[in-house]
Amino acid sequence: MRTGVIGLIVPPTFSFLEMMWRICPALAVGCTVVVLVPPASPAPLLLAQLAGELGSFPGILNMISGPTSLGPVLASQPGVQKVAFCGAVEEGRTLRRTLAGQGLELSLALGAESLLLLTEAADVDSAVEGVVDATWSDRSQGGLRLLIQESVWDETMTRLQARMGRLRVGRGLDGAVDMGARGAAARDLAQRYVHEAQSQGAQVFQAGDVPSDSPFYPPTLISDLPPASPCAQTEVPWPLVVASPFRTAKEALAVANGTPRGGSASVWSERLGQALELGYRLRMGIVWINAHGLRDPAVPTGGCKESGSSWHGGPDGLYEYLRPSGTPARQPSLSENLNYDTFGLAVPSTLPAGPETGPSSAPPYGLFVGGRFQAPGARSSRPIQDSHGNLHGYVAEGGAKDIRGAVEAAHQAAPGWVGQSPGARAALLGALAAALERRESALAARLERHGVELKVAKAEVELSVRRLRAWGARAQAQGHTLQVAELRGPVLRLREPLGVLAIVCPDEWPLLAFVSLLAPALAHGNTVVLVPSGTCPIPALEVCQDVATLLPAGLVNVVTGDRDHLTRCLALHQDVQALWYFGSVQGSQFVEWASAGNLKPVWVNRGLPRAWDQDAEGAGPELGLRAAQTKALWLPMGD
Amino acid sequence: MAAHNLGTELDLSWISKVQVNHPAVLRRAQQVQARRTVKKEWQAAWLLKAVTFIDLTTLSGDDTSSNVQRLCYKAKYPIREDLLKALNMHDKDITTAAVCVYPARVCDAVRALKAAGCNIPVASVATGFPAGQTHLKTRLEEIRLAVEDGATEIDVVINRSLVLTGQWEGSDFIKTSTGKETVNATFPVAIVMLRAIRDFFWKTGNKIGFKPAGGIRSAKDALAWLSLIKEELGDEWLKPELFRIGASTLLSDIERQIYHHVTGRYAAYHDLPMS
Repeated sequence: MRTGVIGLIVPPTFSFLEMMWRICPALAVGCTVVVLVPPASPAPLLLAQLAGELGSFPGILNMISGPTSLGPVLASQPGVQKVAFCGAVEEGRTLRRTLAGQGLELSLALGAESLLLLTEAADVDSAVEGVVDATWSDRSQGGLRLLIQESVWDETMTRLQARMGRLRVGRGLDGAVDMGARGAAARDLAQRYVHEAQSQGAQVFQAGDVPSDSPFYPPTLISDLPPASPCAQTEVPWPLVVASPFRTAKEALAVANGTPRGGSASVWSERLGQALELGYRLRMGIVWINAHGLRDPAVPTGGCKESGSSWHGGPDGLYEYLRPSGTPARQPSLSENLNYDTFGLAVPSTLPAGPETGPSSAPPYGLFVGGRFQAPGARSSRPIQDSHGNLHGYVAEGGAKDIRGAVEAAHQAAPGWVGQSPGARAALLGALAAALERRESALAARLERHGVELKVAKAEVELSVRRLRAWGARAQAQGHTLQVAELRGPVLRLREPLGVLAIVCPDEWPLLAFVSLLAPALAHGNTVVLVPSGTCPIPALEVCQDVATLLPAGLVNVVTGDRDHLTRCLALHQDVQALWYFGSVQGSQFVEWASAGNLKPVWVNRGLPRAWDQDAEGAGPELGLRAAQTKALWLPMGD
Repeated sequence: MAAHNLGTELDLSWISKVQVNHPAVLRRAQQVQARRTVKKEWQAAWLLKAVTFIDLTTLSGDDTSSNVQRLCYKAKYPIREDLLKALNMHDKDITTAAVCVYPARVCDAVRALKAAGCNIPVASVATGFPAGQTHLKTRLEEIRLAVEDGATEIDVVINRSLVLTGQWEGSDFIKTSTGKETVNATFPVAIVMLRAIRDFFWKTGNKIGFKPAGGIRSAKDALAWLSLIKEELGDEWLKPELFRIGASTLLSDIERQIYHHVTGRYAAYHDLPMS
């Protein structure tokens, strides 16, 4: 179902077309939009005029002209269900922090830099035209990082400089001009970057027929910028191109993936195998092969990592403005007095109140990290009590070090798991399901001790088994080809794993929720770090005994302990790619706030329980959508 | 003509390293044609310049001395005198670059140009035009006879069977095609050829000329071609020694555009002299 009222915040550099790209899908699925536009840009005024002409449906598109500081004000209006922010990375971070706990969805589309990877097997002249399309045309969005294979470095630089000499800069609407201007602010930003780069030892080349008055800025090529210099870490502003060499394709991937940004990239190579390999292994939202800057409404456009995870175009663009049916409307739940600095920092003491009653239980469960049970760093355990208050068992008291170890183990297991075919993954999940089936009576007994009726417990185990098998089968579909009207050649919409997915499981349905979250995450190629239910973690640990024998080490890691503390560690971890949190209201707020660190996509329940036994909530398409990220791979054809 | 191409050692590795990405070249071709052309007096100037690049051509089966003579006269006086006077260009010696005819008509062309007092070169197509599938002996003899009759430029048809088996020749100019194919001078093909010319110049210092032929009929096309040469190779190549347009009806369209620029009216068919 449609989301409702969308608040859209756009930066001053947005063209009319960019705004329409985001507004039209929202209107198409039935949402209404309020757009916050920066003052003093003319394009939004045209949009406002168009909105005014929607006579029969007044109010579906509204425009407010004001500074971005009004963003949180817009978000705090009770009717707004979702805020979509497009703009600079730091502003996106601040907004993420400010809106934590307000109960609305936030999607971010940050940064405008792209990447062009030129191998020696490329048509260099055409790649130079690709650079022009990417940065020095009116379609370009931001600056460009240009990676050139060393063997064609000189050739490329000569052609690039010759081509730059023929560029014409002038008023954008003149049909004879290649590049227009983007305002004084953009010009100043470019100027500052160039000065800094020069002071850090880079060579700067500028050319082209440029009017001398502000705010026109000439096309600029920067080379010999040391990779460790501060300039090389920040985003390249428009209309600059920063060129760096690489020796092999492997090095190119390391350099290309070695920044926090993950927007768009193009690979130039006439060798099909190499082009596809690079295309698949670049961590970007969009990859073009032997082209740059192609767009189409049917193809999803978005980013990953710190470019934000919002999409427009294609099916993903529509999902941005849809929610699963039955999702409750937004409930403002801001805890103004949540102290982000102290939440989950100290672990409350778990000394027992009195002597423990009940039979002395088996040895304490360790943490399940790296394929085996091991003792926690703190060398202590916490007692778990059953529904009658008797001691059920001890589980490990995990801490920050254990989280660190678990995330590392998950990263080590990731390449192997990603490399497995969907069929192999399905087979392993099926094997785990069979193992769970064999363990049914033990698991049901454990659940019964926590007050679950035997019948319901058996049903819970059976449903868990079914879901494991179902997700294994569902993950067979890898990606599909999109129909793009004006392109000869396929465009693939690939669904790729996020990486390491951290999941804090809910207290309700301790086994079923654990499995329902684990299965889609694994099926889509992620490796996971889970914090099981706080009151009843033992069924999850029992499952781990089967995981130890069946699944590769490090694929599934389970850490028990103080949930707030572990949540804090996971949320602040810069190398966790996504976090799903099902816990308290304060925890949800903290997770949203802390995700601003590496802008990881988060999914929180805001303290509301979920009906895990219902297929709509426990095994619905939402889980599959959140467990993977999209990449659009463009393959124009022709010889 | 420019200095002859002294040639270099045939280095096939140059050719094997060349990569051409067709979709990207198509996009560039579209971009070039989508640019706004020059307007007003600059357009008139560009069109007059374009006239000086034309190899005014007649290659029909029914060519005789009378139509060749008319063609040569048109080559000497491509634009009507009063139009040139209005543009103050009547004394700039504006003629087409050459006249291009079949070998049998070279004599007639030379005679007609001499009678008109014009020293523009006569180019002859030769070597089994247009298919090139005749014996080497007769092809060489054709060239010798055409040169004897007075032709100073020869449009040689390359032996495609040699091309397809990788045996290459050298030349001073490269031409897109004979002009008699179904698809002749298109922008994507031209872009690839111009890049090759530029690469050769960067590698050896030799400047090779370029001649698109066939299918260039309108003045707008001519302007697009001129801007393409200017973009890819630069002003140095915008000289009759390095750039020719093989065309026949193009000249009348250019004349009509000039007429419109000078008078503000559209000319009728009979207003302008036939070529």
